[in-house]
Amino acid sequence: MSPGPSTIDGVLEPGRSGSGSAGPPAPPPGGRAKRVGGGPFRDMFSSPLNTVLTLLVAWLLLMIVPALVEWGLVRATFVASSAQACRDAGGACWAFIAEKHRLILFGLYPYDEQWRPLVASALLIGAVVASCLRRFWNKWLALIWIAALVATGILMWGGVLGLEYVENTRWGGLPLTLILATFGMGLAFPLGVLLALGRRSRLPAIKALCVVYIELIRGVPLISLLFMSSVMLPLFLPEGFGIDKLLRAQIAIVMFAAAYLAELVRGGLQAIPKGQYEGADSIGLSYWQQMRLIVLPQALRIIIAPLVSMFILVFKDTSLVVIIGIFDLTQSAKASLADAAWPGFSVEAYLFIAAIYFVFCFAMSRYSQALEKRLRTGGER
Amino acid sequence: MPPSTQPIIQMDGVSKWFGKYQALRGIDLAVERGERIVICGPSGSGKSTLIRCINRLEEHQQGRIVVDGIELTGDLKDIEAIRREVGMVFQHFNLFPHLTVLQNLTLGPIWVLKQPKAQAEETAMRFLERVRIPEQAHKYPGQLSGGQQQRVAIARSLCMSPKIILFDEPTSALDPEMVKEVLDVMTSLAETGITMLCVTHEMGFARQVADRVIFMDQGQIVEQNTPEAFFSRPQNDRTKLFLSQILH
Repeated sequence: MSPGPSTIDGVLEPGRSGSGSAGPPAPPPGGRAKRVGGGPFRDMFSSPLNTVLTLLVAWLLLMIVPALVEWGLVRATFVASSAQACRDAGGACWAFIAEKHRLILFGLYPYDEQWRPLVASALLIGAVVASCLRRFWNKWLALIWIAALVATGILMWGGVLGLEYVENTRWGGLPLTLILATFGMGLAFPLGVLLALGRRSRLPAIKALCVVYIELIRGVPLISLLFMSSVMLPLFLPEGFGIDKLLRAQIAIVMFAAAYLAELVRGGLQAIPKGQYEGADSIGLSYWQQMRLIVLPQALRIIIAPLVSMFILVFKDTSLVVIIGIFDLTQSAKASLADAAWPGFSVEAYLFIAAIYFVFCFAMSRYSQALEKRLRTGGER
Repeated sequence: MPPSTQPIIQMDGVSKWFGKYQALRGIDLAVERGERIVICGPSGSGKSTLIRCINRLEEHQQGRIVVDGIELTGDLKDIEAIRREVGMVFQHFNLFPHLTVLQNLTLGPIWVLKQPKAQAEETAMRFLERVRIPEQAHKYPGQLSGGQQQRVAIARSLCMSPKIILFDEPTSALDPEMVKEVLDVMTSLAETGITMLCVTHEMGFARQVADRVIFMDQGQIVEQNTPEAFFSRPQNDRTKLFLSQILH
């Protein structure tokens, strides 16, 4: 943030609009102008309360940071052949991560075949990144996704092209988290948009259906949805008609996220003025054309920030599939702790996966800010 | 019967309610092809509602409206067909802020009339030249002045090559210095022979351009006449009162 010009503009704005065309803007009051040049440290001691807070924060940092550096870097062990070597050093045992990273990242996937989930993860991440770049916002994107999904399926399952077949109960770790999150968001998003449009529909049956769905799903925690999908759903299905456990978890995540997304999108839709619909009506656009060309592009732009928040939540909530025994990143980290030869390094393991979650979530957050800036059209009304 | 001898808009006994409030009371109106009509009246008299019924932005509850041989019923196909023939210019422009001026203009031709993009853009540029702002084609509406936005809105409706164009107080939301540029465009448009219905209080424009001036009050057509007769010899007391109020 640049404190200079924006502050000056902010100060002047009311006066300028109030006086209309009253000539050149007046210079800012002296006090304000001086503060602008003060830099970020000026405010830290600007009042007794600020001084106290500054000192308090400085003291806390002094307590925490050196200890962290000591534990995580100075006394840490990066290379060790056994857990004992780590214990002797007394710091963090990053050698544990080096030893266990394959298990944490890929779970129980056959060790020799783990290049396959690695490539699949890279493809999924690549497809998501391509979707984020404006230059791919055309027909190519559909092709990219079809190719990425087919390739991911082939790589993960195998059974063709000389690849060994791997059942999806053996999938695990980061690729599984990525698959659950990507499909979760990718399918929940269109479903959520349809639900939001349905909730505003003039057709009473459609409206009622959407309202009931949204309220029901929103009224239930994701954990219970996952339990229901895993325990109750098989009870209702005819015998021998089993849906795969992973698929059931995926459906539960999609249904859950869609209900929340629907309410987000509805908020965006309500912000579109009636005149936009009338303008679109007057040139003869049909309902779906209006939604696709006029209303949704504007509504979605308004809700970029909460939308990405929602995506971040979905990404992290995939870790809840742990409770029905699916081996995602969190669960595989937990499994890595079970090795009797390397006991007691849970802090390192959880810091490692926390870092992985953070990288993905932070990237999404930064992207949403860039997107908002990019989509700003001049002189927004 | 050849269509050209029929009125292009025929309204018989049209009534409309908003809840309990009756906005239109049995309107009978026939508009000839190429006719230029100015509708005026005090606020709340139903003049905007009247023209908004013609392209079904408002639904009438009684009576009959036929536009160019198509009767307005609940049938979506008919409504869309009528909207293709009827352009509309709004008080607040209703341009699409997320699209450039050129995209605003080509949206209808491309998606509704299924024109190729190149052809739609060529037409759009021609109309932008006619409203004298071709240099703004690649800007967003939010970057233009009110008068420029309204001229873009006029060009947008012309791109659909409508037979009828409706104006709903097109200059009421403009700063005074921009009214003239919009009226000039409307005047030159009137010379092309397109059917125009214009709700406005610009009496100078009515005098100069209109074939017929309609005065409405309380949901009814109180008086209609040529501008000459309407302004110099108003018959009804309500018309006289209204004219004395707006002509100072």
